[in-house]
Amino acid sequence: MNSIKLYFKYAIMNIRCKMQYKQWPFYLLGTMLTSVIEFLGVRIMFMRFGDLGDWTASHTLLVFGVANTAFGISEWIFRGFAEFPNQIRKGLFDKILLRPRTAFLQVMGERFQFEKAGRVIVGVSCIVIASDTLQIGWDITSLLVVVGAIGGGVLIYSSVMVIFASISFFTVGAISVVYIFTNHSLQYAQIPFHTMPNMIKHVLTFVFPIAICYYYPVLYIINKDINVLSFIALPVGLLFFSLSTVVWKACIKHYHSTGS
Amino acid sequence: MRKLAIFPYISLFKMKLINTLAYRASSWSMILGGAFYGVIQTSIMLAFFTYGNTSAIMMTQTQAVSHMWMVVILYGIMPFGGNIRLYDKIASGLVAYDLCRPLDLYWNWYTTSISTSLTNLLIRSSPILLLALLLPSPYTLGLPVSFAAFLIFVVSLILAIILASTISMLISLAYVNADMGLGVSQFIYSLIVLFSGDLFPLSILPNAFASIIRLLPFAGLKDIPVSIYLGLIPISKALYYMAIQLFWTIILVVLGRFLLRRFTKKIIIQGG
Repeated sequence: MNSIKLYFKYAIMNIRCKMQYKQWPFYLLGTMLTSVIEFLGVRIMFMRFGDLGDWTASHTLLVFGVANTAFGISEWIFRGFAEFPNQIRKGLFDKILLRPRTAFLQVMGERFQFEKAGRVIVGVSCIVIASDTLQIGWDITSLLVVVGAIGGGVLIYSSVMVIFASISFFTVGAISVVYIFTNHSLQYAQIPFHTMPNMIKHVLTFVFPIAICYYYPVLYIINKDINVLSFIALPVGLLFFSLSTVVWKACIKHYHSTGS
Repeated sequence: MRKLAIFPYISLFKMKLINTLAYRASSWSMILGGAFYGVIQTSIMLAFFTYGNTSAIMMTQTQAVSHMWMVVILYGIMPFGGNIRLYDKIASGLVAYDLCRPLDLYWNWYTTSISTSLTNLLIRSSPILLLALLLPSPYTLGLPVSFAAFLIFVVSLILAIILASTISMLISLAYVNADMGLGVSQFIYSLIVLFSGDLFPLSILPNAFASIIRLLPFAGLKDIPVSIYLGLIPISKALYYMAIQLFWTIILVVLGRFLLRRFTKKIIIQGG
């Protein structure tokens, strides 16, 4: 309980800090613009190629909405881990180890990016617009599936950030390749998986399971097809997240201060 | 001694190369991640060519797949996020040391940016290039359309690397203004992703659109050299597009130097 209270203290501190910069509404707008532009890429492909079988641009909009909401929330809360490699390089992690609280909580609290709410706003609007175009009948199960999918997505992205932060104990530096699993994944998550070769399908379902968080749940919402993969986003996310904390704990033992 | 003015910059490059070689885990993750991304990107392209309507598309499937591989191979030269170390230097006050050095500040930092691109290309991209060439048929990276095109591609690629470092400098300089920096860098990032050919080859657009977008500084980062390689920009027109790359480089270097001069005039060194 104490930790949760402490985390909220961190969050409020961060918000106060950001408010000192008078241009903070622009951050929010900037984030919204970024996410809209990200969607444009796939939209343009659909404009040039037409629909892929019965998978239309509106379907991708729905997936993009779910993915963006999840990614936005995850960046909002776990951004501290994304910026962690720089702390390692500068030797700032020593400071954290000296304090009588877990490192995990402190790294997490280092950043609380409320401007990422811009991404969430865009994400939710995409879901609303797409479900209007596709005329989706919402019921309680569909709603639960969407919420579960978003929750699973948040956990997966957070795990990615934690795992890459853990790797930086060895690499002592930021690894730009993380973009491939975060920002860029918003693009390839939107593509219908039935058009993909089996190997890719398996990788994105079992290794880096974003398909379970976006594609399969959306399939359920649209067609009401009963498929186990549509409902397991949250447990898979939890599993992935606990795995990432194990990795974090294993790697933290290898920490050598850079001393600067 | 005037003759040896380039010497310190070569040392800076060597330092960066040794530095990158030291972080072996980072290089491996770059290579593995790149291969993963490449296979996914090419499969998406193949999906569009297999299930979509290709009547309006002016390029072949092989060209599109090759384009996506090139996007992944040239990933390391892209100025995403600018030069983060520079930002750290400013935030922590280490910038004072750089100001003391008897080197031009702009070119000093510029060399760091360009060295990052070159070492990335040397160490991290070449294994992915090899993999892409060895893959079986629909996934493979095609060979250049002709030997002449390949030579021009190399020149255009060098221009692209120079241009990328120029843009990277601009993004880094945007960070100097703590108030607006983050928003500006985010915005430039989106423009790069959309207009550089990173998401889709600009050649899938109608010709008129493609040629307008190629007038912007972003296409010169990736799309122009790759299109020359694939023969989508004929050799006769290559000079025109390389002139665009050069034009933007000069304009943005001048802009960058101007911003830097303004920044150093009222510099505040953070202690600590």
